[in-house]
Amino acid sequence: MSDNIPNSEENEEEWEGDLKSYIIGFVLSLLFTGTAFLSVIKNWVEGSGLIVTLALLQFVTQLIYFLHLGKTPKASWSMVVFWFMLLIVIIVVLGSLWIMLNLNERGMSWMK
Amino acid sequence: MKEFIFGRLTLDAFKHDMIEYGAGVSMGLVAILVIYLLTVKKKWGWLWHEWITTVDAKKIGVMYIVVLLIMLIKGLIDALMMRAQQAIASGNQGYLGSEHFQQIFSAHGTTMIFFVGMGAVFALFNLVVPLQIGARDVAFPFLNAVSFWLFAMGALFLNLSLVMGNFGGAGWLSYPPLSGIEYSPGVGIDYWNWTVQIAGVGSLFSGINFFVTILRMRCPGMTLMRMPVFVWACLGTAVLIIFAFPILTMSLALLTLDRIMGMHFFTSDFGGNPMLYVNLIWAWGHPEVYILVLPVFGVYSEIIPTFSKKRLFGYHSMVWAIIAIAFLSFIVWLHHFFTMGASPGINSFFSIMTMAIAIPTGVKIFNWLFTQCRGRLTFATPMLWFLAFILIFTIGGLTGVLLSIPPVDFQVHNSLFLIAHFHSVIIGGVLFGFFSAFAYWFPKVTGFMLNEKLGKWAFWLWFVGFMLAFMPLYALGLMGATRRLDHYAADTGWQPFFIIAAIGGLVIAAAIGCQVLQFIVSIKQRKSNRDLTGDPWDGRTLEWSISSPPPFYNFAVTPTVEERDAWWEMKHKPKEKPVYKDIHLPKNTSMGFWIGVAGFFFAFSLIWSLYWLLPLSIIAIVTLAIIRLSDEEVEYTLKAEEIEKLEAQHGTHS
Amino acid sequence: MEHIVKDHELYRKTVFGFWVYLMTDSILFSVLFVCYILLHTSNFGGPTTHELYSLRLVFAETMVLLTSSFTIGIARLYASRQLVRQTLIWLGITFLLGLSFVVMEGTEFTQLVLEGNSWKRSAFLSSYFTLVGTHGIHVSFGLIWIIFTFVLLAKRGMNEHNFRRLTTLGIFWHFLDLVWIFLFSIVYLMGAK
Repeated sequence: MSDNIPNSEENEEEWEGDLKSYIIGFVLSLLFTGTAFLSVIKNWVEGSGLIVTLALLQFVTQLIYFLHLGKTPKASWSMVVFWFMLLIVIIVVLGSLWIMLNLNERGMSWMK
Repeated sequence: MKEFIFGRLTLDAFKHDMIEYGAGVSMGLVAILVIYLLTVKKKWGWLWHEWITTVDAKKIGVMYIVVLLIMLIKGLIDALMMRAQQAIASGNQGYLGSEHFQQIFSAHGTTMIFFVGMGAVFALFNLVVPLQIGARDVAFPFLNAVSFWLFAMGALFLNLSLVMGNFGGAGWLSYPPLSGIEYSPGVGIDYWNWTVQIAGVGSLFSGINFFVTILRMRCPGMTLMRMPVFVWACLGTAVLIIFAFPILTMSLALLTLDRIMGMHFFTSDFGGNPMLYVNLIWAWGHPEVYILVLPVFGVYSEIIPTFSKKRLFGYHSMVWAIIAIAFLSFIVWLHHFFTMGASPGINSFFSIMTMAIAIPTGVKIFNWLFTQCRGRLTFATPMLWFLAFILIFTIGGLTGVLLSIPPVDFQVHNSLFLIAHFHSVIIGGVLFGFFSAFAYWFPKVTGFMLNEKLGKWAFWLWFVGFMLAFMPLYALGLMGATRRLDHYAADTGWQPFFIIAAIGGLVIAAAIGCQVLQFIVSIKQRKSNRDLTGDPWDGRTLEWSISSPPPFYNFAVTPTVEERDAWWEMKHKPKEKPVYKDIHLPKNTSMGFWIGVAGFFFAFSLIWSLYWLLPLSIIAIVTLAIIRLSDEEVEYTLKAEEIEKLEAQHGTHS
Repeated sequence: MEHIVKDHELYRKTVFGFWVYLMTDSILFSVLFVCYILLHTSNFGGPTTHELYSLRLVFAETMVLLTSSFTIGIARLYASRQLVRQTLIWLGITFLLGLSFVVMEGTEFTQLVLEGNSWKRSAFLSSYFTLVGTHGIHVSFGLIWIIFTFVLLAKRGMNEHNFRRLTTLGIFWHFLDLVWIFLFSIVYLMGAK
């Protein structure tokens, strides 16, 4: 975010990676995916905690190793916009779930 | 076979009652008049080359204003019709049938919010933002044109529904199950749906465009904290658009899927839930009202310092207030449906958040007042609109705080009290702010001043008219009058209030008449009212540093900025001789227009179930996009010598 | 990359603008996820998630899409070294993998509809078809985009415009795999449990 000179070329370019990062990302993603599927097929644990955790881990992995987000030394607007999107998604999703589940509980029920 | 070709379209679509025929015929006559004038004055080429194929933000801004003014008049006629109906219908049906009345209030709201309000937002974005940041255009000029044409197509649908078919009758938000296919099987809701959806996509693209423009295209030296507050306001607005509009897009899409493909998101049976729609649409709807009002807060932050000859008080707190408002507007949405039945805990949370958002707004108002304190005030029209805003918007804001208390809201939800509240903030805030901005920046855009006297007349008529039209509504709401009522019992005693409100409506009509007259007179008198300096108000920001109207390339030499209120600092220093360089500008193109037209046919095919037209229009859109995106020669070079010549012609000033 | 991109400002603002668009797309998908979470138990007497999902097929789809996200990354690496032929090959592989994904999903949907379990059957099925289908439509648009990029690359070589196009296409394709992570986890894995 070079404010003073918006067109400066001092920044390292965003979205650039190397072969190593793609391979690491791919292998880790395979690992997380495989584990998640196996855990369901073999019924390793109760509940969805493991599935969700593995999903989030793979999400972060691909963000870093495929999209190279956060790789540039300086903070970038792309990161800011990304964090804000996450914030809004959390607000809208959790807020909507809170409201709607509450309505369901209070008699306007449609969920099992 | 006939069904395949014509879908749901039959001759019945053209049958209407006398009032609707009258409206349709009037629209037709105006259209014929415009076509006639263009032909007789041989202006078709001019229209095509200067306007339809333009990618220049300044021209696109003017086009937004043209559409919004047309829609403002249409929305006002809707309002007058409703006022007349309600003034008459005490103990009788009045002159409008219920179904017609429902379409009128639905069209009124849709018109005013999506086409007048959003139109004003995008007009201001386009006309002012590039100039204030010292840029030549926006980040994506072609996308800008596409956004405008989608907006125009949305407006076209709304008007088309008057002539061919009918508009929805479920309000400006069309809640299911009423808006579902079971209870609204006709084309009305589909017209509403595509009107809003198409304009909404245009809005989303503009949000992205101006967000990138403000972040990446500021001139050298203009750090974020040296930007005019208006640009900050637009940045906040762009953020709101980017994160809120997708919610609208999806909600409308799901309603469409329910209607067209028999899905069950919002149906009462098969497991669906209409309340889900209400929740989602307001998660968009609340940020939307801040999208409408934030730019106007920015406008006042420009106008007050200029007309107080004093710098803005509290720049930092203004910026923080904008950021706070932008964030908070995402966590208050449930206050639009306190009565839907959520627990006291949930209602309280959203109530407190809603009260909190009044705080940064209050900070802004106090900063404006402190700016004026000990300033050298002049009361040209833009300042008059500000004074009316302070009074009326504050009333609206205070009633908003009242409404934010659930037990109070339970009494007045969806009553005329609510209607008076939001008209106070939208008219007092958004519309008066737009009028203020219009008077302020008109000379910059056109090169001549507006007639001040008629401007003042229009202002007073609007102010008195608004008070007469809406103050009675607060009383009516507290007396139990519900919104969207087309008739009521005579023993309610409401009629006198409705009559005063109707008179207020007529006064507002007179105000609009004054504004139209002002426009005509100003054009006639333009030669004697020329703005020769480019800086008629002794302004503080960069748009006043160039000629009025600006050259098509905006700045011959990109300015370098050293402090806030850049132009104010620059004009009091000696001017250096400019060094001209070649610049690259985008070429005109008709592709934006054609994509809009293809989008029109896409929506038209879905409204009337013309399933042969649907794939054709999709192919057209994709093809046009591919053609445009593979074109690598979209710019041209304007040589330095040419710029020097053009600059000498309109004469820059110091 | 310096050798290819001459107009750095155009490249950066376009890629950034596209990223912002993807942020809006994320909001779009999050609304669909909300609807799915709230409606997936509303099967209205029809089939439930447990009865419907074939983990075998979903695993195949997941592997295919994940691999394609890897291969398009490789394509981009070749592109930044201006090796057009290798770029085209890896783009082509990505296309075939993406096409397999769409075909597999298509057969899944067709099967459901033929059994009588279309989107009209219940709110659950409406939300399922719409969420998974919207992702599938995005992938299909991505496939058209790959063809478009492939043709322009073959015709015009690795100029700065093609490089920019490939960059945004790559980001888009990675984004679709990110969404798929949540899809297979929340819809299929949690649904099958």
